[in-house]
Amino acid sequence: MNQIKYYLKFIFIENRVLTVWVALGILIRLLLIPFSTHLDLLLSTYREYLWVQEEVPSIGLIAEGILALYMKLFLPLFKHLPEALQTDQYGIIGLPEHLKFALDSFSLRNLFLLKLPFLIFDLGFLWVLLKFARDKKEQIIISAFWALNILMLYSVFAFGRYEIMPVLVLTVSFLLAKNKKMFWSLVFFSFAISLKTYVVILAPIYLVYFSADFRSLIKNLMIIALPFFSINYLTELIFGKNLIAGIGGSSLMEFANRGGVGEEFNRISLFIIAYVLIIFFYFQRKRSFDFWQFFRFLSLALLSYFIFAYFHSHYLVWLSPFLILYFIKNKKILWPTVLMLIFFFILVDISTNRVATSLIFAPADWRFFSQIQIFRLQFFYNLTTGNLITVFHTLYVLSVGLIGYIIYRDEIKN
Amino acid sequence: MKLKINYKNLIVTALIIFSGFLFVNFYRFDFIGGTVIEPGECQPLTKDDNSCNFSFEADFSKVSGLMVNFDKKPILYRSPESKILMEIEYQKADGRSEKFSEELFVSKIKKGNNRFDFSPLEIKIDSKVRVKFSATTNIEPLDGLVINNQDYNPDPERNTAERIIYRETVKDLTARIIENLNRDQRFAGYYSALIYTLSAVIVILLIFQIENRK
Repeated sequence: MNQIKYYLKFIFIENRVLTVWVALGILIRLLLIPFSTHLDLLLSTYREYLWVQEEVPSIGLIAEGILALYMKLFLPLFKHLPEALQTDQYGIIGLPEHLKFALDSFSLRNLFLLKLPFLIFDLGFLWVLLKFARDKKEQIIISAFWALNILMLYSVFAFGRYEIMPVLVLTVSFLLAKNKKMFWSLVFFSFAISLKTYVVILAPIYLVYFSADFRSLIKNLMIIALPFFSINYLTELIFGKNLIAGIGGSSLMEFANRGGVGEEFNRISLFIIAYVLIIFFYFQRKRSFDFWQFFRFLSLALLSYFIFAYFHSHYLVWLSPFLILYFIKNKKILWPTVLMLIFFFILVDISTNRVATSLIFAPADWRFFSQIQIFRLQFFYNLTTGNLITVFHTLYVLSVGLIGYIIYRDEIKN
Repeated sequence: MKLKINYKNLIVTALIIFSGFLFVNFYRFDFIGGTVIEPGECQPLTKDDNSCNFSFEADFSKVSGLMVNFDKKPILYRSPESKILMEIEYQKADGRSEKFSEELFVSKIKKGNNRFDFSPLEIKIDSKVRVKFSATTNIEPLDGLVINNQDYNPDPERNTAERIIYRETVKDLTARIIENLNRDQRFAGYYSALIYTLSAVIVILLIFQIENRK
């Protein structure tokens, strides 16, 4: 009884404001969960369902595997799933299937169940973020940013992608690095790579941070490689398929190279140039176990990806832990971040012709959300789609560049 | 322990709830695009009837005609002798209306967008539009027809023409979303309970503050 009293006092009296933000964050997420989905979620669900029901080795990624195990456990709660997901061609889901799923009587229940694990991972993400706070004020700032984290709300709870898993595991790795637990930080970093290839972008900075000499570099490489291949072996045993082969390392390279200049033989990737310069700069300036310097260079490496490379709209959530945690260090990144979000969502709405914005909410009301294009305002009517994309992509890149500049300036000052 | 009311938060919460009430009841979305006849939306009134009524609200101030897309209806082409009568009625809030009709012979319908021009409409601004389709064949194949303005161009690169501005009130939208949720009664019950409880916790925590007596 005393224990319950203690927790109630802790939550409702001592941390009242924090509780309000967390409850608000959960409420917003719960409101989004059943009423939205992107075609990608339906496609993953279809693959998961094939494995759960017919043991077809259809799972493509480790994150999908985790969700398939969850589906297997709670399958009786799902309803109409095979009928709602019905598709004749394996792996091809288009707008007619989206409509069919959205109009199904049980689509809201199914979406709620499908996305519920994301909420649990996201609460874990909040818990890890709060560990970075030095006092109550910082805890409240972090919880407010977590609650209103538009990138997470969009990518995970509206779009329905599993990006929260690598983001959570990577943030755990940062926390361990901050607490100087090198081995476990590298192990979690390896798990994060298994969940999403993009994390590999950060590997050189991790290796520079943790390695004092060539010998320790080889040792650290081994620490990263071993869990990665062990997970691969384990998933092959469970799902009957090599999931790491399906991670799509080739698409990472393709995306990285798309944002380049020149033609054919003379084509160069701007991302690779920026990335190599950032790693070289870090190597030169490295201070032993300066976590925030390490964090600044991780942020710069990732920001260079989002400036120069091609990416899908739900990938931008990878910036979440960087933006939230860096805000505690320097509040000046707030306004460039707000601008980045505005330009980014206008860009996505126009460039995907609403497929990745309003159409996501089709399960709430197909008629309305399949017609409305949120940002395609009459104001822009005299501009063609191509011009609009150029204008807003440029504005988006400028705002991301501004965030990068603020972080770079902090590094120079230190 | 002392229960205290935080008046500042009380006012802010009341203002947010009141703004939400105003938004839901009075806000209207104006948006641009085509409208599609969904399955079951254009139903015959009687068993022997082959006509259906379909209406939508829109601002036709910049539009002088409609375009119907027959792309997704290959079934229609199999019976070229059948006829479709399309009647359009613009109704203004004061009750005045204008009617236009066009008989479409399926054999003359080309694949893709079919354009129907109407003379400049005096009362088309803020009109409610009723489109009636009658057919000599089963009306069911009409599901999926897309209605756009006459300048619609399916190529988004070139589609810079003025289009129909549709009207949708948040109230109607909310009602439809709730209706959609209630299709699965059991889930709706649990989900609503969860949302209301969480909302109540937030409001209570914002308004009431428990302080330790010193």
